Amino acid sequence: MRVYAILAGLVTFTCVASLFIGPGDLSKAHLQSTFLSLRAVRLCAAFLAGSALAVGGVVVQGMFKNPLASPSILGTTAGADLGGKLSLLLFDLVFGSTAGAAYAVTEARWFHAEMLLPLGCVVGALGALLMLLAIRRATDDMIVLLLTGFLLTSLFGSLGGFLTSIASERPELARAMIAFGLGDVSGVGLRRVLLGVPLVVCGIVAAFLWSRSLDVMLAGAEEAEALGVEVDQVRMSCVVWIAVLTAAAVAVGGSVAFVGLIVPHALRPLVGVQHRRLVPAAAMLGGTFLVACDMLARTAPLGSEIPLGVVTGVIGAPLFLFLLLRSREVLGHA
Amino acid sequence: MLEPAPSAVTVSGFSMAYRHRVVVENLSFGVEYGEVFAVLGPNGIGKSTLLRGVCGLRPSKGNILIDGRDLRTLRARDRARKLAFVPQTPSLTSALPVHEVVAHGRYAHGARFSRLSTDDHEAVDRSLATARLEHLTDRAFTQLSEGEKQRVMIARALCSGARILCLDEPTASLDVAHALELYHLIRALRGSGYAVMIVLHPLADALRFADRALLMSDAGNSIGPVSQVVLPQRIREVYGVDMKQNAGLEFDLAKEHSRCFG
Repeated sequence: MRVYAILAGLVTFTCVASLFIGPGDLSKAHLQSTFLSLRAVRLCAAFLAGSALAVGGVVVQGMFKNPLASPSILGTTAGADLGGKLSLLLFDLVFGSTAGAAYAVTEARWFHAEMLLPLGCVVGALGALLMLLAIRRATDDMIVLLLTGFLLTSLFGSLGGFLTSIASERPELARAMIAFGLGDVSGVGLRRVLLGVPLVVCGIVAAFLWSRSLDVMLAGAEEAEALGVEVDQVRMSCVVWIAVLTAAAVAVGGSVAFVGLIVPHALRPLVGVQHRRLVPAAAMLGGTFLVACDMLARTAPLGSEIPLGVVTGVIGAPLFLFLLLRSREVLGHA
Repeated sequence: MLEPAPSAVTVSGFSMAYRHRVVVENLSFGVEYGEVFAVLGPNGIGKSTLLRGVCGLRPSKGNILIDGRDLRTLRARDRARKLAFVPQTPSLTSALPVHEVVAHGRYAHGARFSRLSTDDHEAVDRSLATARLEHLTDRAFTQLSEGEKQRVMIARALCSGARILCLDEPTASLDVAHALELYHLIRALRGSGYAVMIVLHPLADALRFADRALLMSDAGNSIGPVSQVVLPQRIREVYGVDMKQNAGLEFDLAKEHSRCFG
């Protein structure tokens, strides 16, 4: 319980700090409420995306029985990113060029690009996970699984790049796609945050409810089946929840890497490997981590704001390398 | 007049293949409650594959009845409450505490999303006590020796409440003292009415601890009381070794056990 109390304190401290730290003078009374509300939306977006990615990471690692798995490593984030870009392009083609500005829709329409974005992300993430599961059926080799994840990430990244290049003739659409691809919560509106909330809450609650099954699945598919787990059913459910969580995170915060890998790793020594303990802790720490990264992104003394995905990438890549080298036993190289 | 109770396991017309090789064809046998049934045979003949097939963990053809009910019509949860499988090497590589691993045996009881009930906790405690693991209850599974891990697997199987235990070479990675301890636990379970189907390599262990046996070989399978299956001529045919010569090298297990456990 002490760990959860510390995490709750950390969440509170980081969130309050995030409201009061950043460019903009809060001493001017007429600007204060504007700055605070903008930062509050941004804070919520970062927290939601971080929580979703961290819990998604916990579920992915449990399902694939691999501590090196995460939505970004297995290509799920890239799949959601591609789905999101496709939805932006589709919306632009159907509703006209102004609709491409998914980051700043102001017209009073009954339907906004922001609404299509999460759907596109869910479809993209689901597609990526189903491809991965099909490969997993053919081989249990973890190296093959991880390499397939990298392959899918490259493939979806290339296709996403192609979509961005198609969109280059429409500046608003191109700008939206680039910002979306880099991972960014600076332009997220309240509507997108509100759309993300039910997805993230559903995903986290489902992950918590499936925690017992995921614990038993740690013994491998054969033993889990012998213990009474409907393995295929649990896997398919988890695929859906991972897709929902990743898609919500990407729809709200763009393509942000490594959160789903680092956070579960950091938590296991503190709360243990049981999923019912890991899931709530990951939701808290994942959100806090991304809020802290966002603070770093907007306060770094570089003249302009650093995209959030760049910050998490710079922190996450060396950490992932460290984990990879430390986990040679897991990958069968010891 | 009362109908006789159905056998624990009844296998008939059973065939299965693994990696494009026929492992067994048209095999029939039964395992009764209060019996230890050994599956013997040389390496690679398909003993473990057969065991998995009988447990419903690998595709097969033919009939498998568990307590008179078709195994394939049972849901995974119902099957797990009747029949428990203990692998040769546990696949679990996570640092779950021992009591948590044993509690996985209760997965098939209660709702999927519910927490462990009082009954579940009592079953976990009983199983830990039977497998003499009380002192390890909070230890991480990954920190255990191979022998301790095997006992945890047995405790998990007992915790499931299943009365049919299918053990795949449970003594393969154990030293002689722990192997004997495990055999005596298995005999005690047999005495409590459990049906135990066990894949074994050491023929001497089978002779001492099993009631009946299935000896698998490319030339044909033999089924019957273990003393009538493990015969010098048959062993020569299957393994190409002389049983008399080999017997001289075997431990006197009873003497060894009394030395280890007093």
